Amino acid sequence: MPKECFAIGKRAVVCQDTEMKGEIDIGSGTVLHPQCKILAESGPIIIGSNNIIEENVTIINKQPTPLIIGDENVFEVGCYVEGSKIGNKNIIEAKARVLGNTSLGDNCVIGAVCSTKKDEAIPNNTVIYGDHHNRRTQTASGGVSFNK
Amino acid sequence: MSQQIDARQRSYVHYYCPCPDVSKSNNNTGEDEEEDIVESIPDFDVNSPRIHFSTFPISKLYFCDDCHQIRCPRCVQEEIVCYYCPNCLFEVPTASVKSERNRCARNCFQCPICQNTLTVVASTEPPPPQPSASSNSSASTTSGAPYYLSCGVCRWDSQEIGMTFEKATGLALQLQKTEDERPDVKEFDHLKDHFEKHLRLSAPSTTLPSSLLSIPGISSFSNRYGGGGFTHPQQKSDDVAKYNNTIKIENDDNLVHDLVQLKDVNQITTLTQRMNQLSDQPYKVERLQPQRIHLRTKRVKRCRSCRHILIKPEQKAQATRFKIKLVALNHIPKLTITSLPKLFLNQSTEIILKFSNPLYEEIIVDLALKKDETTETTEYAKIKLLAPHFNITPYNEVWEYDEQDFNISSKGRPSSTASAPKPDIGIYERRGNYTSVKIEITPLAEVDELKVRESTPTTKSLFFWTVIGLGPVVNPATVKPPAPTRSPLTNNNSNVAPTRTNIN
Repeated sequence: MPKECFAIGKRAVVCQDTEMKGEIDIGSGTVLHPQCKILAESGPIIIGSNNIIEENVTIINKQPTPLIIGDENVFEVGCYVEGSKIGNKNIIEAKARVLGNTSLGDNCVIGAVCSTKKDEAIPNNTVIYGDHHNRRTQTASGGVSFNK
Repeated sequence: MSQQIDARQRSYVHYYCPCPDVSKSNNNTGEDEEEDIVESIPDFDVNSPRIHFSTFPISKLYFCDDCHQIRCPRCVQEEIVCYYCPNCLFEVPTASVKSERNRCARNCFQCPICQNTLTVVASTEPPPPQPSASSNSSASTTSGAPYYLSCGVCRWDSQEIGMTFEKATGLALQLQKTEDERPDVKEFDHLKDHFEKHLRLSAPSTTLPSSLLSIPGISSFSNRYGGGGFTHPQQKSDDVAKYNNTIKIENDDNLVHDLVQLKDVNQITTLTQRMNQLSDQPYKVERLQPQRIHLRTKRVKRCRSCRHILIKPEQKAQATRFKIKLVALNHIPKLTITSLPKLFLNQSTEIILKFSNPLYEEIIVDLALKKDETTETTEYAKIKLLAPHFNITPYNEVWEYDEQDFNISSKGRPSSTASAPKPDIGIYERRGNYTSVKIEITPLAEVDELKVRESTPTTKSLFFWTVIGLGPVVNPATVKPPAPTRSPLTNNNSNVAPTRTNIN
């Protein structure tokens, strides 16, 4: 029976109409849009700072170990996240699904309507896109560098 | 639940266009014409492979007012109105289409990995390390100078292959120089110079009307047969001097070596990626380059027999409306399946077909399975049409704005009252401008897809067959209903019930 306990950092915005259950820790600067669900059913969820969690997103933790989400991620509308660990600066696009025990590294992109398999560890900088779900390719480092 | 969705997705109503039946046209004239039309329609065998290319959903059909016939995409004649780029919607003048090789001459490129459109992005520079009191250090200034292309879907960018641009516009021009340096382009230019003199002497060019440009290759066709027919073939071969290659290309032995040592299939290009870069079709992913986007055309479609225009789009690329739009949806009744319960072996189920009337006049529909029969027993199923003859009230625009049920009041026969002169057997519902009828089906064999054929003639001489696919048949004797297997369509049994609708 998880106790209900929310710790919300400073400058975080948690809209009304969100559904939160269990032990949740929200970092500073994170924004939770209305109609999102953070359900720490079996274990706690720890969300880092400066994340954007848009409408209709479901973040569930069905395992006793805590689900740690890093900083500066974007969870777009309608996605479903059930992984074990999410790194930093990821973009999980609309209606994407992160299933089971998978862990995401940093700087990944899970394309719209795409899903990961259960129980895999996705390395950094992976992009999952396309009709057939699982086509992956590596990006360069974020596109900000002005190399050569 | 996914099974149910599969069955829904695989059920359809397709209309048959008789354009392949050219040889069976009726030659009789006179007062027997109507009967002849009805009888001389050939019997429709649903299991022939013809249904794969001759039947269409109603959304793809056109209707010719003059000939009073359905026209399908295969039997319309097309003429090109304009060429435009699907990305920037720029109308390319017909003269420069050929010189730009049917591709967009501006900034539109296609991602080599996923074939989506690329966007032009300015690369950002990290701010110079100055201690400034005003600005927040997280703001980075966009220098903008080296622009590059980036794909929003697969996150590829052209910096990976080292392709950057100085200006944000006119990218194709900036790439032109590198394109011209390619060995195959230089060799082709040499060849053209060599043969051009000879070509100009021997073959006078014929000008073709632009309407025929829709057929690819026709200009070379006419050149060969129109121009070259007069010169003696011996003379021709003597005139051409021997051509020497100017460019030497090394055989790439390293490629074979690399391919042999591949460990990961992701390092090789896929067939789609290779087919998009026909000039060199590389095996390695690093050698893929963004291609310019292909232009698209707007076409005018004409009826094949009377040359009446069926579809005429507007000239502007941004306009999606049509000046003339004679589509089948506005002229023939639309059949949809409203209720499709699961089909079990040897169990009779009722499906409900909805006929909706787009015209402003009432129509009378006569259904038949084949040649005026209302029941049919094939080896696959036993079909019974419960309502072979009914009418559909006309369309009224007022109904679109009002949410009440418009039960037919004075003119028709409301199905709820018992004082109707004829009992409405088999009619499930009559509302607005549509009528839903019931069809009883008893599947006799366990099949993957049950198809029903109906023919619908109208007394305005309109008759058509429809093929109704009903999805898989399940044997309830097994413990779990088997998942519908994706077997090829040739294996499917189809209940073909030709229904004829007579439209008065």
